[in-house]
Amino acid sequence: MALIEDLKQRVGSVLLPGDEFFLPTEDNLTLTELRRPERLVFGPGLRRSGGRLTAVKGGVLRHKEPNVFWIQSQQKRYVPAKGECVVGVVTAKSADVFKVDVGGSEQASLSYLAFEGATKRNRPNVQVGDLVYAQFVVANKDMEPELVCVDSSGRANGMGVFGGGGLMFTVCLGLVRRLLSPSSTLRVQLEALFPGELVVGMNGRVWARCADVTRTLLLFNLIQSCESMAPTQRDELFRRVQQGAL
Amino acid sequence: MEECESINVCLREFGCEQSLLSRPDGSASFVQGDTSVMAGVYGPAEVKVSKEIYDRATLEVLIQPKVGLPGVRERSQEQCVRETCEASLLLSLHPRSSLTLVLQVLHDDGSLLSCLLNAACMTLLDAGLAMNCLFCGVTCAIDADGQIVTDPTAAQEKESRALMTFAMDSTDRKVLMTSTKGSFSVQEVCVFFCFLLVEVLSMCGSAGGVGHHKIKYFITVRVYRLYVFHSSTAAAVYSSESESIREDLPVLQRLSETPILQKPLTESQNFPFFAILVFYQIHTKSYRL
Repeated sequence: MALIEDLKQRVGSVLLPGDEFFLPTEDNLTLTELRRPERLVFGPGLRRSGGRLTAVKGGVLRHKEPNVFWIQSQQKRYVPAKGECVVGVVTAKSADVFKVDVGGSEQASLSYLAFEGATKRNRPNVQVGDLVYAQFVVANKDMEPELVCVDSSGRANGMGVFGGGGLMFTVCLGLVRRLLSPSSTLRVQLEALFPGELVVGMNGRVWARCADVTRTLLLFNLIQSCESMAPTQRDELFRRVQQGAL
Repeated sequence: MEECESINVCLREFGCEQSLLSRPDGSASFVQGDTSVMAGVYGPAEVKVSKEIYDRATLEVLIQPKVGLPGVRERSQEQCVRETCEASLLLSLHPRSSLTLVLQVLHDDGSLLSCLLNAACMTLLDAGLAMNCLFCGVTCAIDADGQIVTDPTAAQEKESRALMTFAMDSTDRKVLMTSTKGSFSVQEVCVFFCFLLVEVLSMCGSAGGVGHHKIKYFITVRVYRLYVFHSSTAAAVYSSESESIREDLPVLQRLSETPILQKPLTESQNFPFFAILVFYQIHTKSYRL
């Protein structure tokens, strides 16, 4: 398919809003040959309308086998997406739902029954101002986003209300994805420094806790400064930290 | 055609920096000669109920003058910028939310509206908002002798008989917005417009002749000088872009070896790669006829 070849050639290069690709039009359908059309998946930043594929964001084109394409871009504002785990702040309590601020354009709702072991009688202990780690089950542009703190089998699986201590801060969305990526060198470097806990939400909020406040702050500063550093600069910084320079 | 030949094709030195503010979701500053604008965009964020639109985002543009409070002039500029942005943004992707674009005039030395438009485009791009296309603004003035001056300074604007600003998009090269002031004939508008399309835009394209190549070269070098970084990266960028640019490479590399240009890559310059390409595309590649 010409389109796939076209796209594959541009992988790794910068696309800008308005860059177009054209999908081939099928002139005749074969009735005899049993052929499955190749499935193409276009992720964030690419929009398909009829026979044309348009880039709507500026960024680097990425590709994943077999046919997944998306644009990797730098962004600060979070837009909720279904299935993503986020760190939110409880802002209000009403009869049966909590309102949670996740940094999007609208507050998300979190049912009090969507916690592990919660029943109508046994309400979870959540106060206004608490931090929660939760997952989106409903997130689309037309509906109010909805969070849950349980997985499909009813287990907490790491989600729920945060314990005391620790520090929450906001970083850009690109850095969050780098932290969560399985092949991330940044995370390996952080792990090598000292033990600590790190909760990374896809909405750009990161929560960190180490043995003492000094180390938590150090971790916070390290992550924030990594936002705008080249890999070589980062290596240098981590080397200095490991030698006890900071 | 005679009028076309008497036109002085010249844009002032321009430059841009993105992501320079920490609070907004996207920010940029744009400089055209001595005219300078700083812009920031917030959103998609929560919207006031009174301003909510059920099927698309509400775009609000605020222009802050250098001194004093925004008046009628700023209001009309706001409207021009808002309509241009609305045409290029995909607002239907974020219904019931608000986008706020704040443009602060830092200095006005002519062609302010086009600078505002360019700053707005760069800011929206930096925020990662979904857009159909990029856009750019060009201001031209017709002076008393009927000659057309592109990107006029404040002094040239004062002497001019008429002033026009066009906003164009990067995909179809269509006009998104026009703003005119002063007296002119219909023919002048036509000449003017043809001139814009043929001269200003194609002068940078690879189809241009020798004279045009020179201007393209200037723009490339200027952009390059604004975002100084390792020459190897630049070489990669340019060579991947087009063949015609490759001729400029030796010069570019020599430039990067001069001591003035060899600044270290600081944190604020983490967007150079992008900016070069953006500029390169806006002012060269996209506007081939």
